[in-house]
Amino acid sequence: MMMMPTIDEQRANHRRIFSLKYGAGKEGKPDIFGATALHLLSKNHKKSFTPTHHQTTPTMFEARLTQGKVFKQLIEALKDLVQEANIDCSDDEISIQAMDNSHVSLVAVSLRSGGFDHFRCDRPISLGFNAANMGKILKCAGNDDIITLKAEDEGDALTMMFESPNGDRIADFELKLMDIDSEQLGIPETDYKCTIQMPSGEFQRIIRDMQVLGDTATISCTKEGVRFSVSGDLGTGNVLVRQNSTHEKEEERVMIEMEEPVELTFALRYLNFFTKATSLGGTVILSMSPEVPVVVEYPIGETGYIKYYLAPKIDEDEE
Amino acid sequence: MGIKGLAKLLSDEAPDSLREVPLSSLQGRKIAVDASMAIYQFLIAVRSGGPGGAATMLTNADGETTSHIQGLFNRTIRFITEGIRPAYVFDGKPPQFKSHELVKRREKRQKAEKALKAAEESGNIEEQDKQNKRLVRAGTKENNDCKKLLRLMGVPVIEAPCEAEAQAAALAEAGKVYATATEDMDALTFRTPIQIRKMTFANASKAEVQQISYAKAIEGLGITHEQFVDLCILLGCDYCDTIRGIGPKTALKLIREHKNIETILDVIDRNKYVVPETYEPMEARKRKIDEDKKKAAKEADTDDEGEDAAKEEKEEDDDEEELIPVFVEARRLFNHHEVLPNDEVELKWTECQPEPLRTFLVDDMGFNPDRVQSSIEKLQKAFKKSTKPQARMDMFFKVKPNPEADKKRAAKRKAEKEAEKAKKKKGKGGGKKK
Repeated sequence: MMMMPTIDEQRANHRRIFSLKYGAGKEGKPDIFGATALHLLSKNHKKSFTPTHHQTTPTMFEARLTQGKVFKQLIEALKDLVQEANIDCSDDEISIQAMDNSHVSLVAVSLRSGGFDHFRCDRPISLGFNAANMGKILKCAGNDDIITLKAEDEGDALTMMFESPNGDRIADFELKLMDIDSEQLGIPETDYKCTIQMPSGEFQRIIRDMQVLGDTATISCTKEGVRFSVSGDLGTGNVLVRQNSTHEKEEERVMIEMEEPVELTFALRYLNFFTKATSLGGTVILSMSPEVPVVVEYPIGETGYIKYYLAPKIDEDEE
Repeated sequence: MGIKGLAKLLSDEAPDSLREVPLSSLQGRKIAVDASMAIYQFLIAVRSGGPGGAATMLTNADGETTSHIQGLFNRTIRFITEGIRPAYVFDGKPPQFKSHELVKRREKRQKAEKALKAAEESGNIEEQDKQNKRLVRAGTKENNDCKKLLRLMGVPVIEAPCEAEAQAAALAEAGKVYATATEDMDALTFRTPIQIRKMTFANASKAEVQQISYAKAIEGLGITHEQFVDLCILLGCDYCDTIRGIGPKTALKLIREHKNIETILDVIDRNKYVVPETYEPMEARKRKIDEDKKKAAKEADTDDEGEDAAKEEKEEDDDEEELIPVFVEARRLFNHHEVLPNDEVELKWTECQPEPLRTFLVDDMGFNPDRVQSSIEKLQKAFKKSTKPQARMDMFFKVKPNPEADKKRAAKRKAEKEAEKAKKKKGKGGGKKK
């Protein structure tokens, strides 16, 4: 029986093929094997190698994420909130901005190119997708899979490739894209009066507990700490989270920065949607100022974030 | 009703102005609803009976129609549950100018009545249904029932001095409400910033409404407000006749080229287009008088000519003061419609009155008590929620202009249009061969 090439040998192989097509990697660093190259190789097992294959249909956007699960979780984290959205790809990041149907909340995602193993985007491109359908396809990716996204200029589909970590399984899926004419909101940089960092699991639990009692929660930030309160037909509930900046694990720390106390009221339904992002990171950062939307941010590693904005419930001020 | 063919013209010429949005996207908005239009829709749509028999309107034990109450009650609860705050605007007296249109409608009714009789005799159920719907009329009783219902529900009722669309549009323009909800396209002519269509369809399963932006419509058509009003008159409104031979496309072209109806009248080919006499009452009168004079001169050999002429001259003087071209009148109606002053309109949503509401619906209207009870509970719950209303994102963040996307859309539209044209040409070519 023939000896299977080791993974390292395979990788060396990929690199060679890759450099055939793309030359040296950006900024001279050794390039990570492009997905295209791998794809070619997989075909190569069956057919003869055709280096010109891809020159006829040039890929203009290509991003390879070793931790494919991040993308999977990202889509999971917004698919209940928004139905359709655009992935906007530029030369240094991919971003998503979308609102829910009622225009009450907004989600903004950014993954900078540094977080990808390989990132190439020749021209800014918008990929309109249906979040539920994208979610269905991503269910087909394993949690350890490497995910590569590819799109062509003027193309009407997004190719998603899932590779198992040891490279013995490569799956290709194409999601049909759509034209989405959605309004983009300009979100100015804002200094918030209160910023609260806490473990994301703790936040998820509080929101879940609040929902037992009612559908509207008040979040108030004072010297004492952050208080979540709810009242409903069954009764009332309060959870107070105190500052705890000395915990040995950084993720477990609760850090509150406060210029002045803030109290805002929110629909729990939406806060609950936001906690779908809990798996993306250990911490969550809430930023609040009086009478403006709260920002619920989940940092994704060093190079990305998913931020949710939720408009507060306001007291009727009849003019 | 409304403006003939305007919806289609907008979808062809200013597609950016139309948007299909889910009902829930109106969350938190105050909307002025054209009540008469809504009541009509409910009277037509809410019916019992199905295949095999002619569908009939819902009635109570006394045989009084209750379709509109049923529809209005459920739909209003639905709005409030979605966080929308509706205010219903009722028609006042019709403008005198509309009498002509109203006569026409009466004629249509009579025709439908005859057709219905014929259908009943021949047993054609489908035809009966159709004619029955044409005979639907929202009378004073229906309107008053609805007003009573709405007041008991704690929903504001506004009685317009004249046309409801005009009043609703005035409220929207003053920023007291977000939009006017009606099917009548003349809400746009009355300058509502946003018009919502399909909002009061009884069909609950389809939650999409059509949102029309006035500013984008004007921009897309490339004309000013004054020109838009003239365009609507040429298309055909409730207040006057149109010039025969001018369709939507021609009307738009003429308005773009000549800016107003007066100039258009000066330049158009009278052989091709038939201008109604009411557009040029002075000229028409003169022509008539000239003809009369000729006739009189021929016949009146024995009469005293001098006396006659003097009489005619006198008549002419009287007329000259009164005769204003009908389109100028219509224009005035669109631009200066009689509406309530803004500070006199108070929009206040209050808690519903469960007891009188129950009495009204169960005892007077004969509704199922259990269902009424659960609906009232739903309404109370929804109202409680709306006391601390949910703010919307666009109250805090402004929409970013996106010229790139606009350009792309425009290019795509152009391409589609050209493809369509090419297809048509092809079709014609094929026809010739045959």
